[in-house]
Amino acid sequence: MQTFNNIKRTSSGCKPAMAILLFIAVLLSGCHSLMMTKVDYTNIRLDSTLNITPDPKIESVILPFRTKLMNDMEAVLCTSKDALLGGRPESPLTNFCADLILQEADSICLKQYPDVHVSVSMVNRGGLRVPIPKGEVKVQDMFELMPFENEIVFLKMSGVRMRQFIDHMALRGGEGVSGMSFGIREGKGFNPEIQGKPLDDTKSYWLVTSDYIANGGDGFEILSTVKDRVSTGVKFRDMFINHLRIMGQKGISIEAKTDGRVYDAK
Amino acid sequence: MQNRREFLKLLGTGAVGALALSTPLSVFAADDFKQLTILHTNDFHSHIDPFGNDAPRNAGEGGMAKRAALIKKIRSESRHVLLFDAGDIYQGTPYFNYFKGQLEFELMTMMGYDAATIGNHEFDNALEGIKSQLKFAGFPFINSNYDFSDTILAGMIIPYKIFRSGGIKVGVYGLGVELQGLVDPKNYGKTRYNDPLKTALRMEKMLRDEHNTDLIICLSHLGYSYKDNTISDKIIAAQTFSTDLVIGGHTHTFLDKPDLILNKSGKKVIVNQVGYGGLILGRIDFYFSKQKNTHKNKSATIPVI
Repeated sequence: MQTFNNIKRTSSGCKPAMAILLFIAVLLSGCHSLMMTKVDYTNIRLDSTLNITPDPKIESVILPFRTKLMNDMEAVLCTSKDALLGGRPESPLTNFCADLILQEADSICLKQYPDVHVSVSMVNRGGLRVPIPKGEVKVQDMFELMPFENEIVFLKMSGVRMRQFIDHMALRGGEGVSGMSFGIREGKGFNPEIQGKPLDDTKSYWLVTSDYIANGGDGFEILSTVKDRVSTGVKFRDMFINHLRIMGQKGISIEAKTDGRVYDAK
Repeated sequence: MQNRREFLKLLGTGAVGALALSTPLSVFAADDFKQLTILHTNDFHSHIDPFGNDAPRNAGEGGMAKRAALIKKIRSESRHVLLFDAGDIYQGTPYFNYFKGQLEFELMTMMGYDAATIGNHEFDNALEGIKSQLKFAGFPFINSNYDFSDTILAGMIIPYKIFRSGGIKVGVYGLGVELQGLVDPKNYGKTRYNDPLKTALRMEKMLRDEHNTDLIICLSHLGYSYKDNTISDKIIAAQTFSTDLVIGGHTHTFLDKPDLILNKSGKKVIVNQVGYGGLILGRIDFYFSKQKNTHKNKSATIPVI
């Protein structure tokens, strides 16, 4: 334990000449009969050096919650034929996730937002934290893949803005996309296509992505000023869990490959 | 490391009381001294269990059952204890995703938390996500610069609280971080964010002048410090007059020891923050003597600067 000495609550201990003034001040404010004379502090680490038995009463309260959580976390959603690894400019993991997002976004729009017609999806490579494992895929794996509470957002973008958006993805070496393709040449997008057609600067397109990216995360400030924006409140992770669970029920395994949607155009 | 440098800088100017207490404790009768122990956490982010054994850092550390045992031990040694949290109780493990904060609040209640302030992640399930869980918290939430009056939380969050512990009167207020740009607008709704420093000045004046508190504590979720002039714990400490202790959060700052900052009255303010994840329990012991403004007491302190 270490000590700070003489940290004062009142200004007593000052020069004698000031004592009377101080005394009057104290009387006027009618206060402070206590003076702080010493302060000790210690920031106690709860690590292996701390020899203490966990509180059994607290443990007993946690236990039923932990049991339920563990059971749920261990639930198998579906299986994956291979481990899906992430990478740039594209990867099985980013492609699978972006495809899933675009597909689910379509069904969300059909049900809730008939005026929104999503053409492209984007998931940032950095937001997918671990690979999807080979074999059984559990709820726990989805929490590890996406620990953040990101939500699905739709953005309506001009073709010009879409081009700038693609340029930034190219600058970053590629991100997870679906419904579009582009090459990367000298850190810029090359020959971008939307739904198989060349990007048209005069058209507008709906993008589905996370609130994190839509708010300008990972340097995507170009998206943060988009006026036409729909915040769905649907969490990415919940959407993935539901999707994979249905895949499992239908006996469909996760499969993904690279298909040249984002490529080096040197 | 910046903190360490700042600390040494203060030391160099003689601002830190590095000298031994000039008057031995034995000069005073036992009754003349009062000890108050402040314990605190911040950003424990739903880390109910210790960090997993395969965690890249801090494997096996933390955990609320161990924290509870430690707090119990301290309470058995120190009679007058106040226990606070500086926000971001929510979010970080599936316990939160599943149980929405219920378990965090229930365990904090069992551990005897006296108050907590509101972090930005408390808004993660919107205002409803705070309101619906308050019934599990047997302690108040203190925030002074969010105006919830046009929201469903109106009247449920208190701006300050006075605690009396062992004859020591402690005033506590709370400061929350700017929500715009940090929290989805739909999650904070019509919550209004008021200037933290102005709020702090108003609060400490009121606590000092109207309530005659012996100690003023700010529970802050502003963050320790920033490269730019964004309002932070260090700025609050430096720009206020009567706040004695800033218990911070938000920036997940691991301080080896509390920071000492000179305030507007030329007095030292303690700023502390204990990382995140419930890995550390902050402990600060204040010792008070009866102040009668006598000749004897004068020698007990050294003028600051």
